[in-house]
Amino acid sequence: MNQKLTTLSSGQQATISDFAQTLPLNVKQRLQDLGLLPNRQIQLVRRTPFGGPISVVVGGLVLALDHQLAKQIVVLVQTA
Amino acid sequence: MSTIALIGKPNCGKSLLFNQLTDSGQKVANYPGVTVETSRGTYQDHELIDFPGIYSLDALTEDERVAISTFDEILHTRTLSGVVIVLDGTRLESSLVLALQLYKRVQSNQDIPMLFAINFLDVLTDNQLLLDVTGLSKAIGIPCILFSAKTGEGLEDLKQWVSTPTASKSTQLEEDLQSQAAQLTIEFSTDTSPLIEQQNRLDNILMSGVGGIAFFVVTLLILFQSIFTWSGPLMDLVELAITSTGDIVTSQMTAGPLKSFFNDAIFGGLGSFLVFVPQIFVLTFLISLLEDSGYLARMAVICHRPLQWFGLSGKSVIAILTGHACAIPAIYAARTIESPKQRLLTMMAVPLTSCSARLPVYGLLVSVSVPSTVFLGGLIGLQGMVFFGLYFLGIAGALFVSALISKFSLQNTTDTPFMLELPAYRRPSLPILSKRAMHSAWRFIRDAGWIIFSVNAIIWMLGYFPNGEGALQTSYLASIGHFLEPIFQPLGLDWKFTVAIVMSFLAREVFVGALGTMMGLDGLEDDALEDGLVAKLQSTELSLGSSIGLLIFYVFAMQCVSTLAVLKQELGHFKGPVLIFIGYNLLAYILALGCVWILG
Repeated sequence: MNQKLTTLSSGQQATISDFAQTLPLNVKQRLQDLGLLPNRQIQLVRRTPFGGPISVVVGGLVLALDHQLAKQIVVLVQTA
Repeated sequence: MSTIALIGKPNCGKSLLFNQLTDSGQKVANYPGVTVETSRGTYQDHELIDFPGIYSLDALTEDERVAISTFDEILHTRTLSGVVIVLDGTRLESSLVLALQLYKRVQSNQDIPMLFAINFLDVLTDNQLLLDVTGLSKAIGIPCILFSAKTGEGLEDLKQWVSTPTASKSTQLEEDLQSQAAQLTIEFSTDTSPLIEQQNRLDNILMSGVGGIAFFVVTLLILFQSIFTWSGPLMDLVELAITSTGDIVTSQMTAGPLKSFFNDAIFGGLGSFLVFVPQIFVLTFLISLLEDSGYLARMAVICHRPLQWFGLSGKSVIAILTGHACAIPAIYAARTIESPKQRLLTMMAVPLTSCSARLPVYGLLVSVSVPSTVFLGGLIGLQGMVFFGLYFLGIAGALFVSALISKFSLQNTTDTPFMLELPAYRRPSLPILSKRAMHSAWRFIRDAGWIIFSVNAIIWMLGYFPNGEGALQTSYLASIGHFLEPIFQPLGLDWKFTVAIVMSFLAREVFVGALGTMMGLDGLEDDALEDGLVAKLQSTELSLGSSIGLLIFYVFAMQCVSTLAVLKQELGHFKGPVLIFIGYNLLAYILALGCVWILG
């Protein structure tokens, strides 16, 4: 089911499905340039204490994303 | 001379390649720390231009906007004979997104030869990863060369292309470059996830839990301790060199104005400022080390949330650390911050961090007023700890001011969120680190040197005449000093300090040289250099309260003309610099006064 990227637990994988409407266009563009494309695998690898940036692996990169930003990325978790 | 542009994403090894190509006679135009300006150098009969790293042609940050607009300008010059696009072979997809965008941009302007130079052959080989450059080259119709900037493998082919750039066939790119980059990556390179896993294992230790925080704190402690304690031997060496040269030069002279000028203005004044160059070297070296190893990016992530409480971004860490070398590159470094609001606050806060121009002043006053006790067998010194306290005070002041402005004047500004690629951990190249540190030390000497020399010469003249050496008390300088004395009298400082402080509004480092010149002129003995400035000041009646108060004054005071000019340029208006000038100096004076009242 569709959920926010921030709801994943550390190490969990999911598929990117959409970006929230609230996300500014230039930010969305940049995320796509960095490899956050629809239907692609994304893995949450680490959280930073106190609600800091979360680290994800996607498209052969490790990215740290602001918590508020990560909230606006919608992912799909496959249920086995 | 024809021009070759070197462009690529951050951390793709572009700087090292530039360095390999332009080993001799390069003039580096960028500031140390984060590359925010283009560097130019020559290779054979070509001029090489190295652009700051960008992720995409759709700029998100100010530094990208600047880099892209400069690139577009170069693209329209007739001298451009080739574009080398540097790619990271271990992060091929995101490199290709930018490379294809650049390809499209260059091709739509004019028919210029392009090369995809794919770096990190050494890392790929070590990890048994394959990259089919021939296939990739065929698929996109652009020559591709796999090389290693570190080991030099494949560099010959690259050099050959650079010396005679050959035109590429024009290829029709797909509309969706992102998908094309992803497809090309799957088709021509093996999965690089083992590399990502390696990196994540180390990140799990360095970026989370107690271990991560401990490593962070220890790194900062070592950084600041080293500025004072570890650059000591280097500083002693410079001091020895200056004193012995001074002795040799002046011993040949007969007593008179010329000898006094050399003794007091040149060796006493300029010399006491040169002693602090090693500290600047050490600081720049260490910041570059953090940056090139990849840890600086982790520091930004770790600090992002805490710094947000003060209205800043994790990337402000880079500006704040750089600010300890010089506020000017630090203000430029703030360009990498996505959020306009956090960028503004970072620029406002940076002048409060203790830059290297304050080092000579701190160094002198700490040596005068703090005993040189050491603990743990010389590893940690009391003076070093006071130094750390001064740095901490500067950072605390910067955070406080930023929080204050953010709370009261910038509530409803739109924001762009923080995002940062965590680069691979790499062993930094020693020659590059030393080169950068040498450049910043040289820059400091060149930029500040002539101001300090001229000010010292003026002070010497005003202090020598009309009555000559040893008659400073009846000189022209004394009359001026006595006139200005009331300003700093409440801080328990006499006219000599007043002159030195007022002069240091041109540049802070002037303070030490000016005092050195005056103390030299005041000495009755011929040999002004015999005991250092520290001993001379210790014999004056400077109270503990006054010397600590003066230190506090220098932590907060805004005394640098160049910083104000750069702030005006980056902010686009005078209001900011004027407010900073008045506000910070008022704050500095009040805090110093409080210190004098408490300590007496």
